[in-house]
Amino acid sequence: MAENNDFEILRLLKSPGEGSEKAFRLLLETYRARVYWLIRRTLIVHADADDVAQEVFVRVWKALPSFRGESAMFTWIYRITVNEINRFLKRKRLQVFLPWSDASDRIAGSLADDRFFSGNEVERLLYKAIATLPDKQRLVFTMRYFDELPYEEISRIVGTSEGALKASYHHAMKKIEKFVKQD
Amino acid sequence: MNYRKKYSPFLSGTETPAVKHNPLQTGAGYFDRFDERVFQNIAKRRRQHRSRVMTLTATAAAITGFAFWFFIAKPTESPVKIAVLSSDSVSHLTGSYLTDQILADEIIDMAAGIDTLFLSDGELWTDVGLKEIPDESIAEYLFFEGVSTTEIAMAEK
Repeated sequence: MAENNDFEILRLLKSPGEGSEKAFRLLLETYRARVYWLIRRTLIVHADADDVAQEVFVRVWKALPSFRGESAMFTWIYRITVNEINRFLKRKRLQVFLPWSDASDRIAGSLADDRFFSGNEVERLLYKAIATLPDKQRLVFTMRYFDELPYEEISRIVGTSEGALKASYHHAMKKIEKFVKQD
Repeated sequence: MNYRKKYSPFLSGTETPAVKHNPLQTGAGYFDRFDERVFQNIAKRRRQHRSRVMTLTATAAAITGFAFWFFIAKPTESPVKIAVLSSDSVSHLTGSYLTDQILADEIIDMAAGIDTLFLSDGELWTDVGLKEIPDESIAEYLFFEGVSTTEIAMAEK
């Protein structure tokens, strides 16, 4: 469905008049949930994920006229999303003047009373463990584990070799395993 | 080792990972309002951008205007000074300056048609036009005006 919509989005983009707005509306309809969930699983906190998701689509709107279709629309949007997540994490860390480990602990701690979290203890443990991962490992783990993207696709999105991504994922798994055993 | 089955028991038995249970939630109707909020944010950004552009344009125009005035159109200091014929200031005036001032006064009076000092009897300025005033007439005029000969001599230096 997404691929069909991509063709339609591109067709609308090329058509004059209100084509670009229609294209953007279709793009939103097609990708808003996927983008939001990638962000949410990486940042975990709903309010943060919402801010970043909104920012992603504002950027997509701005950049859409220059989209030439050289890469898949999904890859292009995910690349913007990943950049926006990284920007957010850097900004957040600068704002609170905390080392990464402390910031992660805060995220993990916020799960305890998060009204937007309905999981059981095992799930809570998994998300706490994810929150303790370094940025890149967290992103790679989220895309690979939850979105089940092939390494080839992740490589196109984050601009890293497949080998490095496999290593990142492996390290992420080991850290989660260690976290779960410790808890 | 199957990581998912070991550490995510909620996934065990799931054939298609796409249907994994998602413990993260959004508020009710979150995605229904999502698009409109994106459009609102885009409109907000546009307003901010427009306001920034207008501020920059106004600033650039002000700077350009000031630069134009300062470097090109700024009026240069006037070389003309008001001549005040008094004993205190006359020493700063040159003879020609003094004469110019007197002539200026005469022209004003001439226009009014009331001063006939340098004219023959029954003659008006309008009759003679702008004829050259002889030096002795100027000296005579200054005498009548109460300017001393010392001051006139100093002014001519």
